[in-house]
Amino acid sequence: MRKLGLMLSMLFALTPAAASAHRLIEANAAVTVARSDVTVTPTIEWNRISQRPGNRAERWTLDGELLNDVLFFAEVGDGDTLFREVNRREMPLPQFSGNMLLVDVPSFLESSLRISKGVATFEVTSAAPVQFLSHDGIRFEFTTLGADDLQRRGVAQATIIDGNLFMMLYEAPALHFFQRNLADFEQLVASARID
Amino acid sequence: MSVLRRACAAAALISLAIPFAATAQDEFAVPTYEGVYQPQDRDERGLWTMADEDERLLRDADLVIRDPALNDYIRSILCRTVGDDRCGNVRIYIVRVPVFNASMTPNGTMRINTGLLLRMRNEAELASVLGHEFAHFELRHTLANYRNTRSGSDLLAWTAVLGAAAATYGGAYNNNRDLQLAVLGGVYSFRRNQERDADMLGFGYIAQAGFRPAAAADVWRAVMNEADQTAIDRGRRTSRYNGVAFFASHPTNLERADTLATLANRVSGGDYEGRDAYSRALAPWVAQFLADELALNDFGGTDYLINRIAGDEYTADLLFARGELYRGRGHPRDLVNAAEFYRRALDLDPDLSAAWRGMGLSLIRSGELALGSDALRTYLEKAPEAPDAAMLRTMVQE
Amino acid sequence: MNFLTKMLAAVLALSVPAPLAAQERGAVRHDFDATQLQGGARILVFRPRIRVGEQSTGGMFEPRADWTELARDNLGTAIDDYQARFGASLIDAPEAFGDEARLVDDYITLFSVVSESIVNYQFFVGNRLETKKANNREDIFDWSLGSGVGELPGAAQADYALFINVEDHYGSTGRKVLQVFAALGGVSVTSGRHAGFAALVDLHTGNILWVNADLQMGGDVREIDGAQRRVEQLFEDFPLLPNDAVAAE
Repeated sequence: MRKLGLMLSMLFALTPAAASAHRLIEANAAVTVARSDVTVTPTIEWNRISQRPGNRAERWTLDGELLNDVLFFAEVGDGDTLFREVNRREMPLPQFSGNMLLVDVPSFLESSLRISKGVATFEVTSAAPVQFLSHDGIRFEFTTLGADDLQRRGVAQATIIDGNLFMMLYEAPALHFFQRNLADFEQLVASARID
Repeated sequence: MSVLRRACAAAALISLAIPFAATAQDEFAVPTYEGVYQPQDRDERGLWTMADEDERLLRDADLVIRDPALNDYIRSILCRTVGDDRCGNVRIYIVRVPVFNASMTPNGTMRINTGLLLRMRNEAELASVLGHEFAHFELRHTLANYRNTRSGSDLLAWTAVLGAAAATYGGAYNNNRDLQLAVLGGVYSFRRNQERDADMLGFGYIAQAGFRPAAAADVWRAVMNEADQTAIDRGRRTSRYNGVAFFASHPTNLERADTLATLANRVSGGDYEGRDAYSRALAPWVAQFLADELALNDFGGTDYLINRIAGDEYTADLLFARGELYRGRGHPRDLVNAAEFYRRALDLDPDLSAAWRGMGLSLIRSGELALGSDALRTYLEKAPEAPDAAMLRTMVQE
Repeated sequence: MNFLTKMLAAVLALSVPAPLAAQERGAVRHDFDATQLQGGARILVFRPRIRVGEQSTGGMFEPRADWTELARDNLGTAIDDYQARFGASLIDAPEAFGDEARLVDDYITLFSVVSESIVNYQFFVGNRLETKKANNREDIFDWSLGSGVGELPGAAQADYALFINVEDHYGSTGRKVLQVFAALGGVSVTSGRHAGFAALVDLHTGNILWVNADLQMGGDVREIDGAQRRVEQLFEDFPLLPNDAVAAE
């Protein structure tokens, strides 16, 4: 009967499943993210959403992913997608390719967000070189219009190490929320290390 | 609850479909317009009220393109097609969605996706689609279609429960995705007789306005071809000749395309296409519409689309988009082709500076570092304020 | 299929209830002192979003104009009753056009997303975020739309804004049968969605001072009594109820 329940809850949009709890990320303690060797040390408490957005991804939030969405991607290799497929047959997600250039990462993210989150528009507003995880990386900012007709702003930092993509991303409504926690995200990025 | 989802729900009530057959020339006659209409029964008033609420949201939605020039132009085509008195009852909303669709709610709200505008090659093609949609509106097909839809989604829910139950008792779980698409196909389709009636009336408008009627069949074939190319590129069977898939809303596709063509031959119409006027009006928008399309990760479909719009006359925008498409896929041969597309785009329009960027990046990924750097340097000279200029400067070899 | 339907109808007669999730409904901001605001507070009311319809077996929303009109009338009357008790303190927001209308729309959309987040991640116990659990233990309720609300049309003439959003899907018979069958499988297929969000927002800070938000509210908004009950629920513990009105109840 469990199986029936599981399938039904997939088929119908049910009330939120009381499944596994979201985890508290404590302040001032190093924690590994996205099942990788990457660690970050937050200075405030965060929540890790129990459902992984992708095999090589992890999601943190303060008030829910629609209001502040922090995503970690680590060791995304050749043929990997950023997110879990939503509809592989009709709308497959783009796959990472080890020979992508850093400057290609924004459009790779755009396509992934449009397909997986139903983002309607995506515009890069800036992209600049940066050191990330002690490697040459890219930092870019963007704006999106979500499937909920809400304008959001985002910022991401990424690097490619030995053909694998590492990226941290923050996206939040342009009204109020983005500015409110931008510094907290910057702090996370600054604390990121890779062993 | 999002505007978009609501708007989609409303859009699902009418969706784009073209088809069917006729017998006598008289049937193409356009009746005298009845003028302003008010909803009659419970269901119809329900639809109108919701359509009114949805329109309030749509009116303020950020996704709507409000550019007066584009809106006036699209409206002028609708008015030319169905006549000024009919067109006066319609509010047009151009919505930035890269999917081929247009819809009309019973209260007179016409939504046109940018994905549809991008796929039209001329005014006659657009007129055939808008005329067909308007015919469903004038004939008030939404109501019946809506009642039909209700039973469609009931079927899906029941089958899901029964299918899940079967699995629990050890039975094989059926392919639910196909089923879901089949039922969605039902949601998106009008009934056969409705399609036939809408086609009669639609062709009637076109004939009266002097457009080339065969454009309707051209559009329909292109939709099928694009779906085929998407499927082939993704390594699965096309849905053209068999069974159930996304385009199941048009069960016998091939037959319908032929029927449309036959119908087009029979109706008396003009030969006006309006290709140049259409290209001019869409020129400021094509680059953005194509960019939205490119993000959908549909190589086969997008490549077909670009080729079709181009016909035998590639513009710089189309060559550039093709370069972006090939560079995005990024196989070694794609990068070589991409560089060539950018080069040709620049031949046609030396001011299309983004083509220098694409060419530079393609060459660098192909290992031609010196040539690539040169191209990027040219780009940075032409567009020093580009959003990613700082990033690109690090890639230019000194 | 026919036999099955009969069987299910028989099961329906037993009326097995679907399991309900434990959930909270309302909250007041931790540092909000309502008593300071009695009397002269001016509250801007934005046009409530109201949608009422039927939910078919498949869960598709079927709009019902008569119900929506009834609900708008009934809720309107019920809100007017409240307004009478508040005196002149409730002000209808001016009808906005163009950019101003889009700004209002943006904030109503943001409000709707924030409300859903409050319900999903703070009120819904099984899904509560850990940081919100800590907040709950310390009686902290801290949600805001941001100080930008001060730019909303009409904001300059008011101290607070009231946002109201109501969406009701009434289950059809088919949906109820499905619900019972699914309940036998130990899962919950909800019959109908009766979402109601009402919030009082500080127009200077954007802070949500008081909120009532629930995806399963009571009160049939199609009936006058039900609409009154819904409004009572929506405004349960509304902090700005004048003292004399509270005394009069």
